[in-house]
Amino acid sequence: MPRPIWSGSLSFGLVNVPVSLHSAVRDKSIRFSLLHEPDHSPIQTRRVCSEESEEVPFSEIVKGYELEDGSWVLLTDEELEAAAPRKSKTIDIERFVEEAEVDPVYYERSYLLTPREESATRAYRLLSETMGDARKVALGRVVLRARERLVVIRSQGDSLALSTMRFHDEVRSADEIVAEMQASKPSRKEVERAVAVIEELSVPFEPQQYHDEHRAHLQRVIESKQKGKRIVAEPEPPVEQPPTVAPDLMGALEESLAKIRGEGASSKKSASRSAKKGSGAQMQKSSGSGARKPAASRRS
Amino acid sequence: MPHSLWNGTVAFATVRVPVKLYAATESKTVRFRERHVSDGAAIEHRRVCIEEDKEVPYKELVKGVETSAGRYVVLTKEEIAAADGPAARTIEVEHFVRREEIDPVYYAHVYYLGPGAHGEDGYRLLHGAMKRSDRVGIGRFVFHNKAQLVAMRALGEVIALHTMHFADEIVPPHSPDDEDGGQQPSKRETQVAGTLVEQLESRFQPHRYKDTYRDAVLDLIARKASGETIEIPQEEQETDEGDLLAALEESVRMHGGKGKSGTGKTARKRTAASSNGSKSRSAR
Repeated sequence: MPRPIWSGSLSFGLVNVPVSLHSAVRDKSIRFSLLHEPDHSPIQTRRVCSEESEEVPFSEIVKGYELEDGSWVLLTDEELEAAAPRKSKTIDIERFVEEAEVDPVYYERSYLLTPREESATRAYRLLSETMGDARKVALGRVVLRARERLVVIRSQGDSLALSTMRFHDEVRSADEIVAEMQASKPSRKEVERAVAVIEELSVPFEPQQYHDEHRAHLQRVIESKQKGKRIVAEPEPPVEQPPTVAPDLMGALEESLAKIRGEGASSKKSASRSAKKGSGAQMQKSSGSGARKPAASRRS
Repeated sequence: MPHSLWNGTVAFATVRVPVKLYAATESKTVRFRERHVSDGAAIEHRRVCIEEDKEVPYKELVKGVETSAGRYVVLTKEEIAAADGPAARTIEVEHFVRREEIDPVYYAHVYYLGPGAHGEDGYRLLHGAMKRSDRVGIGRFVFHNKAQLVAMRALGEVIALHTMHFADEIVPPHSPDDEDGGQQPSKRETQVAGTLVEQLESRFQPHRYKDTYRDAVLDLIARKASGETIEIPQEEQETDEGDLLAALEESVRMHGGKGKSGTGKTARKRTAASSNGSKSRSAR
C-alpha cells in the first residue's frame, strides 16, 4: 500500500472511523526531464526573488493574491487553513444518494480509504457493508490540501473508495455548442440502423483489454535510441481533408452492419477495412484479445 | 463560441463524424501566485543548468528520459510526436458499453464534443443512437502527446467525452481482511447503521452544494487586506471512537422522529448539510 496522502477520520452520524486516504490512480506516463542541449546535463528549477535576484527557500515563499488596485495580499498556509469552514481532519458524511444519480461529469479524482488502525476495522466494515446493502453512496465534504472538497464515498466489496467531485458551477454549460449547431435531425431509419451498429459492437466493459499502445511505442523508441539507433520518424500520414459535403450516413451504416454481421458469421477477425468511400475506418481493432464478438443476440 | 481544443474525427464503424473538442469544466479555485515573504516581490522560476550553475535560455532545452541513474536518452519533439501516429486525429470507437459498468475510478477529465465542418448529421446520429441505446462509446485517441482511453456518451443535447485511466494505472482496492482480522460488526450494529443511512437518504442535487471554502478564502483575503490579524486555530483533538453501537443509536435518535426524508427540508437535515463541525460529536 502506498503512503497515505491524508489521515483523519470518517464521520458518519456520531461515529468516527479513523482512516487513511491513498491515491487510487498512479500515472504511468513516461516522464521527461528537461536537459541542457550542449552537454545534456539536468536542469533544475530555482525559485528566485525578482527583486533581490537570489534563490528563495520554500520557508520564505507565501501565497499572494492580487487585488484590483494592483496591490498584493500575502497569506501563509496557516492563515489559509484558518479559512477552512470545517475540520481539516474529518470527512463529514452528509447524505446518502443513489450512485446512478451522480453524473460522471462531477467525478474528479479517486482515492482508496483504509482503516487507520485495527480498532477502526469494525466501524469501517460496518459502513462499507451498510452502504453496499443499501446500494447507496455517501456524499460528504473534506478539506484536502487546503481546499474544501465535495466527495462521494462508495463501497467496493469490503472496502471504501472516495472520489473528489467538481462543484456544480465548475461544470460549463453546453448551451453555446448547441446554439451553434445547425438544425439537423437524423431520420428514424438512420437512428435505427445506428442503434443496430451500437448493439453489434456492445460488450461488457473490460478495462484491462485497452492498453496504452502509445506509451509502449514511446518506450520502444527510447530503447532503440539508447542502443544508438537513429530514429526515423515515420512518414506523417496524409492529413485527412475535411469533407466538403455531408457524408452518406445511411450508406455507411448499411456497410458497417454488413461488415460486422458478415464477420460474425464467418468468425473471421481479419482487418475489416472499408475500402469504399475512402473512409478507411477499422472496426474492433487493437483490442488485443482476438475476436471479441459483440452480442449478436441483442440485435433488434 | 467557446474555443475548441482539438479538431478531428470520431470513427464509429464506417461512419466518420468530424468533431471539435471543448472544455467542459473550469476550476473556480482561488488562484495565488508565489511571493517572497520579506519584500512581497514576485518569485520567478529560473531554469538552471546544474553543471554550469547558469540560467539556460528556452531554446537550449531538450527533453530526455532517464534510463539509469544520471543517464538520459534525448528525444526531439519530432520523435515524440512520431509516436502519436494517426490516432492524433481520429477517435476510434472500439466498443459500446453500459455506463453503470464503468467504475468512477476510471474517469479523469471531461470535455464536450461538438460537430465539426459538415459533421452535424453524423453528430446528431451518433448522439441520438447512443441516447436511444443507452450505451457509452469506448475509444482511443492521442491528445497532448498521450494516449487517451475515452468514454463518449449523450449528455443533454451534446456528446460528453471522458478521458479515462488505463487499467494498469488503477491501484487495486484494499480489503481490511488482507492484514488484520479485526472484528465483524454485530447484527444490531448493522441494523442501526442501516436505519441511519435511510434517515440520511436524499436525491443528488449538485447545485445545492456550494464551495463554501472558496468564499471563505476570498473573505480571508478581504480581512487581511483591511489590516486584520488572522488567528491561527489550535490543532484539533481527535475524538475517541468509543462505543460504536451507542454512537449509532444516539445518531439515529438525533436524526430520527422526522420520518424518512428525501425532501431535505427539515431543520435537522439542513443542519447536517451546512454543518461546520459545530455539531456535537461523540467523545465517549
